[in-house]
Amino acid sequence: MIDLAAVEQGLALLFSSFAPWMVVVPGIVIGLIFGATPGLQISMAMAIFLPMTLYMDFVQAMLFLTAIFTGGSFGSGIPAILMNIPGTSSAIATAFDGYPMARQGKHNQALGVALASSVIGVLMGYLILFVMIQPLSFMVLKLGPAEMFAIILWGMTLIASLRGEQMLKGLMAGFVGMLVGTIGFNELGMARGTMGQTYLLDGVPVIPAMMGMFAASELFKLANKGYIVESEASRKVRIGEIFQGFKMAVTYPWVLIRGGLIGVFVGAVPGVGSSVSNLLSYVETQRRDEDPSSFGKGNPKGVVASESANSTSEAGSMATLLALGIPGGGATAVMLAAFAMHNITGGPQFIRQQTDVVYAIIFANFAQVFLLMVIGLLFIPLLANIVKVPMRYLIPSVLVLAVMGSFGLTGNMTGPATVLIFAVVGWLLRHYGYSVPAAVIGMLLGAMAEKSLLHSYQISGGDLAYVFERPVTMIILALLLVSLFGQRLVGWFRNRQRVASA
Amino acid sequence: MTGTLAALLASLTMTAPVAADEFPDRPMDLVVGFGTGGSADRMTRAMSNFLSEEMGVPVRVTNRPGAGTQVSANYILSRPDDGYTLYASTFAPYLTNTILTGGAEYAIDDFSFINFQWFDLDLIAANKDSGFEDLPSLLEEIRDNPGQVRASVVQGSAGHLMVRLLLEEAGIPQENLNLVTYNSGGEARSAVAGGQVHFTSISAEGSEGIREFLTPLAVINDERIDQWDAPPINEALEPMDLEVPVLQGSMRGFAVSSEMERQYPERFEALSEAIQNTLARKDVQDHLASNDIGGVWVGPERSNELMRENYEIFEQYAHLLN
Repeated sequence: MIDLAAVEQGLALLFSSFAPWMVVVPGIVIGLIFGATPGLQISMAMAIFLPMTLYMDFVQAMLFLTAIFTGGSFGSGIPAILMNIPGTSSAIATAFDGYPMARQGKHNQALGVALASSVIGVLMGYLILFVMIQPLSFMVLKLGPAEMFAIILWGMTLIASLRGEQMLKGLMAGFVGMLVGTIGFNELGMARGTMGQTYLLDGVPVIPAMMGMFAASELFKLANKGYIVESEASRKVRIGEIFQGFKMAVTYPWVLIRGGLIGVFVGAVPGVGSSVSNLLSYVETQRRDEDPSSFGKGNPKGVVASESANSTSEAGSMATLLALGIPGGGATAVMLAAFAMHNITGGPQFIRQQTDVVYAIIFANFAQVFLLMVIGLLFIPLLANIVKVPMRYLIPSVLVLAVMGSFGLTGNMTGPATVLIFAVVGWLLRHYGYSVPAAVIGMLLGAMAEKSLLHSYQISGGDLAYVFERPVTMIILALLLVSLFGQRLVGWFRNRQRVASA
Repeated sequence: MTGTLAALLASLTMTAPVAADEFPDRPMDLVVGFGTGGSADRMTRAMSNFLSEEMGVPVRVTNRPGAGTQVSANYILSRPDDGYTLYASTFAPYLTNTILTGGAEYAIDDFSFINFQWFDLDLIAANKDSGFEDLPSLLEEIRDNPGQVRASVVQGSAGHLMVRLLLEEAGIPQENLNLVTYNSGGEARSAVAGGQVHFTSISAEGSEGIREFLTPLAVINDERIDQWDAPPINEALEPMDLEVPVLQGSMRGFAVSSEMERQYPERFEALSEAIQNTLARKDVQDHLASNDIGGVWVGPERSNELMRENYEIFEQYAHLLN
């Protein structure tokens, strides 16, 4: 499992000179900025700075890119907490409880909780990677479309608990989101719901739509308020409270570990990654809690669940990249280009022959964790000042950022148009008591669910018996049923026994 | 501005030596049909600085991804046909597919291809544990046991068409094979590496990482290649007395609108020369090679011919892809 000679060589690669470390701090800062700015994506940051890696050796290049990755995974949680705008789709669940905390004036604690969870998440992820990079990647290969469908279905059960005013309204919002998610070309190459518009062929761009729904609708709601945080006394940035939040996260070790495990395994699956893992972790944490109804109202456990999962996902996606040469998402696709620049092909052979390089990347990330902690603590007071900005300045500047960022995402006016259209949609949903997060998750997961269901249909030739060949699918589905109806079933059995013994 | 002024003066004086057209006299745009980080984008960015040196003006690279390159193709056609906008993309099979299945309103003839510099070939490979060692036995299994064999391809790719063609030529009903169509090569490769499907038909480049999970059965080429130890497709099919057209995996390069070539043949010439000169430089070739990017010069005539051939083959079998 662990090759000790390679460990030594890996350490030598890192510590024989100071050069590899020169890029880590700038990398983390770049990641933080890109993650924290609504509309700027981590993969975009990597693509922009990729040409710089031409002048670095491979280890240094990987240190730089993973530093951007690490910084970005925490950065995207910051606007989610302070403004209810997830910077990327991997921070959706962070906003569920992070933003209510901020509105209650606990923004310092919330940011502290998020930072601690991110730091511990990255550490956990790379520890798991260090011990089992090969088995982890092989396990991912064993997941077929049927398993993927079951996993995504699990994430979608979250929609039911994001009720809005009533369960039915939550479900309706979720289903409408799913329908929007199926617009565009599907994996059969058929275009649907485009109404003949060329710019809908790729479907509705999810991130601009998400920003519009969350951000703009939230900001419209706050437009007549003076500030994000109502009471002036709570608007202070207190380092003490940030540390308090930092400690708070550690008091939920099980939430952290669960988030970490979900993050690594789901993050390693190509095409799913961190946008699903944070939701799954949140679902499970909420469901297992003694008081599920406290979630969504500012329960720090929600922030811990989401942030630990999306930070661990980084290591998961690195596993498939290093061990199989397969990128799972945008960020790792850019890294693959860096691989090509240095004539390196990820895969089992690479791991066997250059174990020292792989270990060097992993160890460097252990060190990045501490740097992230330090830089994060320096950054948070700076960023938390957002709550002191009067709404009349904040709203236009955030909207401008979101619109510009979305232009960068789509490269044409489709992005900004999407933000504005969905801002109105989000406002309408909220106005009539429909759940906005349910609609966003429907959009995000609906498209994925459809894809994996279609692939399951293709792979089995339409034969339902295929499910019985896939024990893992059945296990996931069974777990799903137990977690949904477990308590009711137990109650029902107890009632029956009572009736029988009476 | 100065360009139009010069043209105006030239037309007034009626002594219009076309060569007096100072092209280019302002920055040029390279429009990529895909997002950042992909192959077409890497090729364009690797070439842009050298092209800029060659042309003597700055060259900007912009990405217009979407709808299997239809977004970028429409954008190119909507720009002025003055030679200041170059189109960089993976033209085969993407541009072809936007017309045949994507409902695009333009035709292949609306574009004029300056050069294809990067050619990919496809590979048919089985999962190592699937027990398939050669192509004929795989095809027989599909023939004899309908619904038992599974394969992964990228939707609309040359590899996808190849699988359909093989079944068609061998007289095997298409529904005998459970074919899974992915939109990303990574997912299609994961599927075969993990044994979710028995075999895949996909571009050889990018399959390096999962080499250990594969038994290569055939390369879609006229001759053997060094990287993959498998017979060329028609050699592999010899025992079955079959022959299939050798489909070109993918072709990447540069193009302009054909209207631009018609209006400014001398500018087209200048662009073509610039690309040829760029690719003739040793430092450029070294740079491309170190990045695993193709850099051959085939020229406008051959490029247009190749594109037409590619389109005709796809058109002939388009019915198989749906």
